[in-house]
Amino acid sequence: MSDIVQTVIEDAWRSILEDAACAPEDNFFALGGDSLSAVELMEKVEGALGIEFPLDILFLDGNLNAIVEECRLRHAQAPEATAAAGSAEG
Amino acid sequence: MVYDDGAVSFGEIHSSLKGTEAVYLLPPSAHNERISPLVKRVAPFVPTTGDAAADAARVREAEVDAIVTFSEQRLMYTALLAGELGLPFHQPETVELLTDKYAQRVRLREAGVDSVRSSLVGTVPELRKAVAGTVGLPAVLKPRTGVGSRDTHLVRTLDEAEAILTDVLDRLGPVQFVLEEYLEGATSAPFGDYVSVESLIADGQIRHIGVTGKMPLAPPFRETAQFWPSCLSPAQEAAVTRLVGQALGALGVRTGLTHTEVKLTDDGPRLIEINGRVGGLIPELYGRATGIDLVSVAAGVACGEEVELARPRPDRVHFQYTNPAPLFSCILESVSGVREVSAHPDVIRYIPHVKSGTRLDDGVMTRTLDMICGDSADHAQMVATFEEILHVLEFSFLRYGETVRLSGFDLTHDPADAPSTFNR
Repeated sequence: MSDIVQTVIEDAWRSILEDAACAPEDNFFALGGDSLSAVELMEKVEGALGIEFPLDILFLDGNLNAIVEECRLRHAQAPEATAAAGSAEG
Repeated sequence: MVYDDGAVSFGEIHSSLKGTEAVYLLPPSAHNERISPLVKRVAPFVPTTGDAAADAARVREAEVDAIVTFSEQRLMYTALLAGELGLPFHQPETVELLTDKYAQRVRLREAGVDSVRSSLVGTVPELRKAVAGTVGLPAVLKPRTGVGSRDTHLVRTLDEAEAILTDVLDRLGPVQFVLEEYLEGATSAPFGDYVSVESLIADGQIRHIGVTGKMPLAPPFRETAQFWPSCLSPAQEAAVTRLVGQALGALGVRTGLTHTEVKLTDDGPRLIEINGRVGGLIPELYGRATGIDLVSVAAGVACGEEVELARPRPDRVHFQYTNPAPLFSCILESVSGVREVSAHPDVIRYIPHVKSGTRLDDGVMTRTLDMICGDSADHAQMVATFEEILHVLEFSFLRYGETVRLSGFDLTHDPADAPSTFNR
C-alpha cells in the first residue's frame, strides 16, 4: 500500500541515497547512508510529515520498510502531523 | 565517547554501544554542529566547549568511568580531559608523538626502534639542506600533522620537491612538512608492499589483533584494498608485530587501540607511521572477518574490563576494495556496473561513498568513491575478483565541461592520473 508517509520517505530516501529501486528491504547504511545523511533524512521527513523521525529504528534496523511502518504509526497518532507530502523534496 | 569526524562514524559507534551507558561529548566542529541534533536525540549528551579544563566539571557531573575517542583530531582533547578526570587514556606526551610525524620519527630513532632519516622543512632553503644532507632522495614529503595522505608526495628530484613545496606553501600558508627517506618496498606483487597492524593495549600489555594485508597503492599514496588475513608467513607476521610492539613501547602507549602501518622491505619490516586510534574501515573488516566488535573492545578496555580476543583462523580471505577518487578536480556524474558487481559471488555488498554531483577536489587522496565488501576462498581468488569487478565498474566524471569515463581499473592505472598531472 502506498500512502503519503511512504511517498515522503521514499522521495527523501531516493534523493539522499540515489536508490532508484527503493525496495522495502533496502538498508540505509548498506546503501551508503552515513550519520550525516541520516541527519538529512531525519530533517526531510520531519519537515514534511511533522512527526519525530524514528532514529532508533534507523540505527538499529535501518530497513526502509521498518522506518516507513514506524513513521506511519507516528503520523497517525500525531495531532500536528501534516498531510502535505509535497514539501518532502526540499 | 569523545566524538568527531574520524575513523568510525557515529552510527557505527552508536550501534556497537547500544545497551551501554555511553555518554557522548561533541567538541565544537563543523561536523559535530551538523550531527549534534541527531546525537542529542538518541544518546546521552554532554555539551562541551572544546577546552578540556573547562569541560572537565560538566563531564565529571556525568559520572563517567572511562573515556575513549576514534577521532585523530580529538586525541589531544581526550588525553587532556582524561588527565583532568583521572581516567586512563594516552598521556598528552604520547599523543604528541602519535600525531606529530617528525617527533614520532625522532623518538623511534632515539629508542633504537627504527632509523628512517627525516628532517623538518618549512621553506625551500630548508628543503634543499635536507635533500643535500640528512635525508637525500628519493624522499617522501608530507605534512608534519594530519590524517590520511593529504598533500603527501613522493619526490625523486630536487626540482620536483621544490615545486611541490612551493605550491603547497602557496596554498596552505606557512606549515611545516617532514621530508623523510623513501622506503623502497620489497617485491610483493600482486599484493602491496606494506601492511597494517591493529593492536590492543591494556595496562601497557600489547596484544596484536591482526596483521591487515594491503593491495598496492595507487600513485602516489592512495589506498585501494585491505584484507585479512594477510598473505605474510607466520615468521613475517611475527617480525612485523615484534617491530610494532617495540614502537608502541617507545612512544609510551599504554592503553587503547592503535593502527600501525609497516613497509615490507628487503631489509625487513620498517615503520611507516603509528596512529593512536583504530584504522579507517578496520572495524567493518574485522567485525565481518572475526566477529570482534572493535568499538566495543575499545570501550571495554577503557572501562578496565578483560577483553576476549580469541578468534578462529578464517577459512576465507575477507576484503574491502575502495575505488580512490581521481587525482584531478572533477564532479562525479554517475557510476555504472554496480548491479553486476553486487551479483559477483565473492561480493557481499557495494557501498557508495560519494553521491552523483559531488565535487571531488584534488589533493584529498584519502577520498574514496565507494567500498566493496566481500570474501574469497583464498588470496589468489581475491585478486581475480578485483580484476573482474574493476573492469565492470565505470565512473563518469565531469572535468572542464567534458565527461571523462574511467573504469575502476583505470582509476589506479590511467596515465591521465599520473602524479605529474596533479601535483600542481
